[in-house]
Amino acid sequence: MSEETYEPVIGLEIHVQLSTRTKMFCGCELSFGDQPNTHTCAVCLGLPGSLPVLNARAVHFGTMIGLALGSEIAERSLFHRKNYFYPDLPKGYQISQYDVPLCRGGGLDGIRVHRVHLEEDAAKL
Amino acid sequence: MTSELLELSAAQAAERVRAGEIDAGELFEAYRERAAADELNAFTWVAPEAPGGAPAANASLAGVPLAVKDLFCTEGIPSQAGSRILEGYRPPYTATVVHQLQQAGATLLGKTNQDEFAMGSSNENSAFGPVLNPWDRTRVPGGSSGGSAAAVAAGLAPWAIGTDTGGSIRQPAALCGIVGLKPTYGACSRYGMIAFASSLDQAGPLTRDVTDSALLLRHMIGKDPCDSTSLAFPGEISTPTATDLKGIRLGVPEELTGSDGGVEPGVRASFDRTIALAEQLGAEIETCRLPHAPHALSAYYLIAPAEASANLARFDGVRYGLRVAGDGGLVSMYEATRAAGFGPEVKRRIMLGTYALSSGYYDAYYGTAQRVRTKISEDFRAAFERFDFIVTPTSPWTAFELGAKTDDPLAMYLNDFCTVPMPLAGIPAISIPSGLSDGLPVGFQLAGPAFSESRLLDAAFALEQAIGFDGRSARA
Repeated sequence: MSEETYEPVIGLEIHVQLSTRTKMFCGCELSFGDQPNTHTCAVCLGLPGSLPVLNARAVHFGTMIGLALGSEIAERSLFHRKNYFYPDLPKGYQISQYDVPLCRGGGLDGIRVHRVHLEEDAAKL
Repeated sequence: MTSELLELSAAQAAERVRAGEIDAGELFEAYRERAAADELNAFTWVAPEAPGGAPAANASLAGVPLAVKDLFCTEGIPSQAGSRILEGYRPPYTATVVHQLQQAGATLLGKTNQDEFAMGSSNENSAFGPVLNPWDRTRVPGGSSGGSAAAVAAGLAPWAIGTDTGGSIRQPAALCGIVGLKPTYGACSRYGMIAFASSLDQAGPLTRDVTDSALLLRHMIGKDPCDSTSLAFPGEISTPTATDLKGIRLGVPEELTGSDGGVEPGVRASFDRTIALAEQLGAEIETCRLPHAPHALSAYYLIAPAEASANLARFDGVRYGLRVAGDGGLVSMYEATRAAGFGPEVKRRIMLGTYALSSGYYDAYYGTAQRVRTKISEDFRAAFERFDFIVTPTSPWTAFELGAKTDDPLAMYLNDFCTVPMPLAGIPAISIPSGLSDGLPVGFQLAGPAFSESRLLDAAFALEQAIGFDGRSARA
């Protein structure tokens, strides 16, 4: 095959840490440089019986990003559990978004944006 | 313990404590001794001593001891959910409903045995051994809240709390001759309840009588900022007082009361007698249809295992509970830990659930089950336009012999035939003892629309008074 038959299509997955005061699904402070394991609770440790509570400020920021990118903002959005096993994943799944993300479409400087969604990020092991 | 003290209901005991006629510490110690001498294997942990500090004299629950199902997290106290994988696990926090009950003056008497992760209908799936039914110790107490039900029926605890996912409060209550209430989904916080199937799980009371259930539930409800699915309960849970059922319309669904569900003749006879009593109390009784109810069991056994397969993924030996090293590698440690830590029924459901959620099968299994669930909700909604409550037997059978159904999981699942439709629809339902069949208790179930708990308790109270069930022989 000649090289002309290929068209490069490059997709980027960009992770942005939101400047919220607390974590995505619990009330622990979001800060850097402190001693490890000082900003933890039953929820972010994924202890049995604990439940996530969505950070309203994170939804607000996510929506702002969507508006800035000209995305379509979902009136109803869903979180899903992405199941896999890894030692730094306390619950055995990551809370992420799948079929109904917070924002769809939009773009910046001619680069199309597929979607904007919110998810939790496990800390380093 | 004096038989007089033992024969007081929890509400009566609380009243006597508040009136200064009984000492709360004495009451606690009397029950603590009974619980510690438990021969039914109903408890997995009993408080070693009375809690320090007298409860506030005016506290609603006045220090009356409470038995708590093992899957509620209790700070510093073993909370093992009936599983080897959590053996010895002591959580650093307490479940919201337990905390609320303690704030209202309840004292923690002990933790009760249960089917592992609430998966079971006979309490034979506990890593800590089966619980025996106090009416006949060769028989099961029902499950999964079997320890709570047996403890209350046997008078080892004045009252208890449990959880209901597909019948786990109501069915053991029926098989042990006590009252069990599953509240509306969202009425009670699930924070601190070790999850089985999050869209179905609800905490609720297991008590000797309907009044006790109302009193316990009153302090369990409420919106919890730590549980996004909890709701502010509209109104209060009032103390039931009804003496008749005048103007109450009861629907008897053909699908859940006929021989299709395998309802035993003795259970059916008790159900018919209760219906006749309800009619004498002034209720209007009519047959009704819940066309999709027979599919509830199939939908439930896809949805609940699917949710469980994700909920139980955290038990991997990395952070807490059991760890088995395996050959030294990470995956080997996961496998060895889960192989040793989970019992056969839990493994079965994790595999069922993982399969139902797997790529390519998701819509065919999980999606279809969710659509059936919607149909079941619509059936109930239509029925409640004509009826105040739907009534059925709680369980098709009375307590069966230990080991009788352990080799046949499908036969075991049929236990839940009459109790599974309600949690799928998120509605409240109560089981009250309606009499005996061959010396074993039979349960009568009433289900109502969301947040109808006060009316439900009132109707159950009127029936309870008319039935006059005598549970004393199980406490002897």
